[in-house]
Amino acid sequence: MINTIDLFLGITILLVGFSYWTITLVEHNQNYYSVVKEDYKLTKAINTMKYLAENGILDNTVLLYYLNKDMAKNYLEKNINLSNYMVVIDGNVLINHSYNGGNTYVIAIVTLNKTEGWYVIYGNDNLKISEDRYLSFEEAYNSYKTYKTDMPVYLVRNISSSRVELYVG
Amino acid sequence: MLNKRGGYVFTLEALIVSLLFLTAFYIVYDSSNYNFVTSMEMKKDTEKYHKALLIIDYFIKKYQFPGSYNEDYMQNFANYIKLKSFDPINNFSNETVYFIVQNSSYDYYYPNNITNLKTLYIKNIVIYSNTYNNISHPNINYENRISFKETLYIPKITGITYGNSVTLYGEEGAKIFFKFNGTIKSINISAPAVLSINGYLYKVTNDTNITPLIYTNDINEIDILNCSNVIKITLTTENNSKFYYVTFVPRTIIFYVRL
Repeated sequence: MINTIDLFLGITILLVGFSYWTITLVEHNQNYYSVVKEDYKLTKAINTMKYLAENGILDNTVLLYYLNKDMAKNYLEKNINLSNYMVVIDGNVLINHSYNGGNTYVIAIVTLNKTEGWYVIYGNDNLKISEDRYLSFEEAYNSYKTYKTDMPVYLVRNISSSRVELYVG
Repeated sequence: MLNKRGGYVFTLEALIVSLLFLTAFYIVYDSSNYNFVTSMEMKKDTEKYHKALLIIDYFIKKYQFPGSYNEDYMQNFANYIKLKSFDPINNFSNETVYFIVQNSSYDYYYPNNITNLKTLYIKNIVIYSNTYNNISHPNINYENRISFKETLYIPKITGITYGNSVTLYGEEGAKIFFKFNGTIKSINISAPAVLSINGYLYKVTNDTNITPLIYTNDINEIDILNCSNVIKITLTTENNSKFYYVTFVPRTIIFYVRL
């Protein structure tokens, strides 16, 4: 006949063994689940960035950003459909849409000239090019009317790159 | 242990021992089995969502612009437009995926009818076109489906017009592509807006004519970067000309998959 002490020992060992096993199983599943969730978030972020870059939306946003930040924000918001995200351009936050501090982020480095626009060649005796940039010919012309020479030109000053980051939380 | 005479199985002690054994076995097996099966179910659900994502991606790629238009429009215009988009003008009869386009407040600012174009009411979106070929949107039961949201460009206005002027409509964030074969006389914008025409910025403050760089017999692109509600862009040419055009607008679409 089995001794009771042996029986209890056997049961204890079985219990301990089984509990280790089930905990491992549950751990593994939690990890698998969170890996898939992070993978989905990253894939969605990458796909969003690719879509924005390929359709020229990022280019337009950066162009607008250096002329009027609010216009750039409204324009970009229409094309992003994520629940928690933040967009940063050259280190400045453009949009913060319920971003709660997750770790996923995707960078797009957009190479474009962010200084194109209407400048004015103005002056009385010496001609200079204006530092200020305008969105339209009329605005540019009206700002330098007091000078003898007042000629707005559309200029592309230099080509530099802008860095757009998308944080998804 | 008691001294027994025979028939061990039926002593009380043996009964209690076997009952104890059964109880122990029952507890251990049941709990482990429950945990195991629950983990499997959770894993299966996660894989189901993964699969749904892939199916929806494939569906979007399959029904990009251009969808189902007539020969003339496709060969001479639509096939040259490279834009990541989704086209409701298609035949969706045999699909396991379906979609709903969410309304946008801008929809109310488009006119009820646009000259030369037919107004199509597809479920809850309004599309204007005179070049569509074969559209079919089946009635779908939306229960028991997994859904995902995407924001994509939708061709709201597609058409071909003959004449010496055409009116194009667009909202903030829209992209208008057009092509014509005459000499341009004037371009008029109906309301204040900031536009990017073939890559160059233009700011228009009121009802004005502008003279941007426009190509004849080639595809031109106007991006409306800022405006309020919907604006009208009227192109006028010297002589009669054939205009191809499309207006894309960004909309949120919900895709439903049944697995």
